[in-house]
Amino acid sequence: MKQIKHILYFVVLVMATSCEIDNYDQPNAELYGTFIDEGTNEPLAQDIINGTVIELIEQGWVEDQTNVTQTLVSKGDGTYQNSQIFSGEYLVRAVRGNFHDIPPIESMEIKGRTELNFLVTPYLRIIDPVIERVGSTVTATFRIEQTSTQEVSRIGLYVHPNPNVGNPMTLTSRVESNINRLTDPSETFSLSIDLDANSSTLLQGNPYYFRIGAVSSAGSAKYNYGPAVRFTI
Amino acid sequence: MMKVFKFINCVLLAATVSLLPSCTEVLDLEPQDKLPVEAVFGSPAGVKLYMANLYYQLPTEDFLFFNSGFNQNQGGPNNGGQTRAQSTDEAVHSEAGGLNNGPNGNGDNMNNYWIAGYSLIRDVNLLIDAIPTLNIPEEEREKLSGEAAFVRAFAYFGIAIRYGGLPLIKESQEYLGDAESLKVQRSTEKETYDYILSELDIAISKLPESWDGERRATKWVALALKSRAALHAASLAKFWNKAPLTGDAVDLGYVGMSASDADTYYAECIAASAEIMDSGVFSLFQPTPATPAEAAENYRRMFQDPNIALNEAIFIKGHTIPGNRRGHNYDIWFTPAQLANGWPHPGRMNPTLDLVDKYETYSNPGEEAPIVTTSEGDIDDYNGYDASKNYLHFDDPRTPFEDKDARLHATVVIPGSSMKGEEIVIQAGFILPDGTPRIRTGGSVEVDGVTYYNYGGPTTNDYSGFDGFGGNNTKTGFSFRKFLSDDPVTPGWNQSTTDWVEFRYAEILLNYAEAVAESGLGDEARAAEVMNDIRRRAGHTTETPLTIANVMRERTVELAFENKRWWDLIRRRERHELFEAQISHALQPVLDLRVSPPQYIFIRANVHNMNPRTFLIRDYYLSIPGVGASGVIQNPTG
Repeated sequence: MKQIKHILYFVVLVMATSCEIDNYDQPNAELYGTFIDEGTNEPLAQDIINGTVIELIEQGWVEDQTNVTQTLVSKGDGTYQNSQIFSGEYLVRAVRGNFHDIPPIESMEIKGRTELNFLVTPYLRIIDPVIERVGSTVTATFRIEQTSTQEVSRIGLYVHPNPNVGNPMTLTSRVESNINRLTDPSETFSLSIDLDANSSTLLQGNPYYFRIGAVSSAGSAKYNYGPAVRFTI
Repeated sequence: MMKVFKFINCVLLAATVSLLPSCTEVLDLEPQDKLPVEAVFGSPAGVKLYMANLYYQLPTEDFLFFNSGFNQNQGGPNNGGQTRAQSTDEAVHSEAGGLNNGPNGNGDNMNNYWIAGYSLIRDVNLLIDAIPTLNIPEEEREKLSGEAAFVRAFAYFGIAIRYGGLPLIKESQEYLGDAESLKVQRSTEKETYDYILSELDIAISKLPESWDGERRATKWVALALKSRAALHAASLAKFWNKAPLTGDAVDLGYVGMSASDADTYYAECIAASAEIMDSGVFSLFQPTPATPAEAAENYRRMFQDPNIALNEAIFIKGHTIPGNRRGHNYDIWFTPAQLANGWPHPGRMNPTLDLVDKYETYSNPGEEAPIVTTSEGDIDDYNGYDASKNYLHFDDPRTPFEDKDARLHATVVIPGSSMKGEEIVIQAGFILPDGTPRIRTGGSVEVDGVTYYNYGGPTTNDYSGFDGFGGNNTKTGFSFRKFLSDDPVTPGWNQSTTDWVEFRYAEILLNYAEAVAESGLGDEARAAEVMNDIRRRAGHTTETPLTIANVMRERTVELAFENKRWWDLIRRRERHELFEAQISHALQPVLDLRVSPPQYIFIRANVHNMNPRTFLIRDYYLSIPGVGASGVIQNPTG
C-alpha cells in the first residue's frame, strides 16, 4: 500500500512538472480607424465583400520575409478594426481600394488601442445623388466627379435589403451602363429600376436599400458609392 | 562408407551452426516506412502498379470530381452530388441551388489541388530518378520517360490553372536536416506554362502511338493535353487585363500574363491540334447522321459507353467494376427522381434554362434559340406567372423543344420526354379554371370529374419536378441525361461503371477553331470546316461562319457537363462578368385548366430559393496553403 502511494506521489510529481503554462502572450493590441475622403471629410463607403485590404507586416521578426503578411479587410462603411494584433513595429499599407494608391507607412508602432485613419482620394465621387420612386419606377439621378484622367468604366443602381448593397449584392438583373469615357461633373446621369419587372425578387411592401455606384477604369479599381437610401416599395 | 557420410554430415552441421549467427546482419536495418527502389521498380508488374497509382492521381475532372475534390468514390462519399457544373451557368443543385466555389484554395474541395498536386509531382519525380537504374529494354525506358513527363505536365497544369506561377520542382528533393534548402520560390506564370509545354514536348517525342489497347498516355494524349494547356495559356495572356490584379505576386510576375505572348501560345495550340487532326487516327463518331433523332442517339450512346467510339475518344479513364474506390456515383445522384429505383437521393443535377436556350434550332442555325413562351415574345421577364400575358399553349410539353439541336435531347431530360422507357413528368403546377395560379404548391384539383395533380402525379414516384421533397426534384424544369446508363439504377454507393473520356477529338477540333478565331493564325477555312463537322454530327446541315461567338456557343453545348465550362470562363476572364449577383433561370411547365382538354403553358422564371452569385476578380487565383512555412509569395488576397 505504501509502495503504491509512493508511486502515485511520483506520478503526480512527474505530471505536475510537465504542466508548463504556455509562455506566449496573447495578442494585446488593436488597430482601428477609417478611410476618409480628403475632399469631403466623410468616411469612404465601399463594398463589404470586396473591401479595401490593409496589409500588416511585423518588422524585425523574420528579415526580408515579405510573405508573412496579415491582412485585414475594411467594412462597408469605410471603417476597419482588428483587436487581435501583437504589439510591435509594423509596415502598414492599404491596397486594392476604391481610391488612388497611397504610399505605405514603412514603420509604425501598434500598441494598446491604436487609431490610424487613412486620408484618401476616391477615384470617383457621386455628386448630388437623388433616388426617388415615381409610380413603379425607382430612378436615380446623379453627377460624377472624376479625380483623375482615368475614364469612368461603369455606373449602376443597386438594390438589396442589406445596407451594404452594391455591385456584388443586388437583386435585379444588371441596372448598369457602360460609360468607358471621360465625364464632366456637369453631366447628369440617370438609371432606373422597373419594380414591376422585378416583382418576384423585389416584394411589394418590403423595405429595400437603393444605392448608386460607379467604377473607374484604373487598374483593379473598386466601386465608389453614394449613400444607401432606404424606402418601402 | 556410411560412417564417412555421417562424419561429413556432422562437420557440415557444425559449420552451418557456427556460421548462421553471422548471417543475420541484425544491424543492417531497412527503413520500415520506405520501399527500396528495386522492390517497386524491379519487376514490370511493380512498375505497372506504380504507374497505375500515378494515373489515379491525375487531376482529371471526371465522374469522381465533386465539390469535395478529386477521386470521391470511397465508402459513401456523401458530397451531396455537388459538382463543378453547378458552379457554372450549366446547372444548379436541387437542394443547394447555385454553388459558387470561388475562394477556397484550402481544405478538402475541388479547388484545392496544391498539396495533392505536389504529392503527385513528388511521386513522379521519384520515378524519373529511378528510370535510368531500371533493368528494362531501352525502348521501354524511353516510353516510361515519356509517361513520366506527361504525368508531371498534367500535375503542374492542374495546379497552375488554380494558383498561377508555381515553384517548379524538377527533381526529387531529399531532406537532410535542413528545411531551408528545400524551399523553392515560384516561377512566373509564363515560365510555368512554358515548362508545362516543354515537358509535353518531351512526352510527345518519347511516347508510343499506342499501347496495344492499354489505357496509357500515348503521343496523341500528350498532344491533346498540349492543345488544352496552350489554349489555356493563350487565353490568359490575351484576356488577363480584363481582370487585372495588384500586389507582390503580380509585381514579381507570379501571376499575370502579357497580351504580347498570346499569339505564341495560340500557335502552339494550333500546331498540337493540327498534328492530331493530320494523323488520320481520330475522327468524329458517327459524323453524318440522317436525322436529328439519330444524331441525338449517337451522341447519347457515346457518353454512355465511350468504348463504342474509340475513333473519337483519345484518352479514357475506365471504371471496370463497381465498388469502393472503383465505381462512381453519377447515376444515383443525377437520375430523374422517377427512375431512382429505391435510391433516396436522385435528381441533384438541374440543367438551367440558360443552357437550354443556348442550343441552336435547325430552322435558325447559328443563333441561340431562347424558348419563347408568350405571344408577346419577351424572353427577359423572369418574374413568374403574369395573368396579363398571352402564354402559348401546347398539347405536348415537348413541342417547344422539337426543333432544337439534337444534343439538347441527349444531354438534358426535357419535360415529357422519355428515359429508360418511362415518361419523365416535370410540371410546376396548374392554372385553375377560374384563372388562379397554383404553382409549386402541391395538392390536386378535380375538374369535370378528372383529378389533376399539381406536380403531375399522385405520389412522389410519379414525377420528377418542382416538389421540394427530399431535394429529389428538379427546380429548373430540366433533368439530366448525358453520361447516365441505360440500365436501372443500382441503389447503392459506387455502383456505376461508365467510363469517362478525358480527351476527345471534338475538344481538339474546338480548341483549334477557337485558337484560329482568336489569333487569326492557322487555317481559317479548316477551322470553320471542323467546327461545322461537329455541327453536322449533331444533325445540322447549314454551315455557320467561324466567329468567336459561334465557336464558343458550339463549345458550350458540345462539351456541356464535361467540366470544361468552368475553365472556359476562368481562362477567358468571363466569370466575373457573368457572375455579378447572377441568378440562373428555370422553365416552369404549367397545366392550364382553363382550356379543355388542358394544355401546357411555360413560364420563364428565376430558379426559386437561389442566392445571387458573385465572383470576385481576386478569386481567379486561389490562396496558396502553407506559405508561412514554404516561404512562397502569396497570391493577391484582396
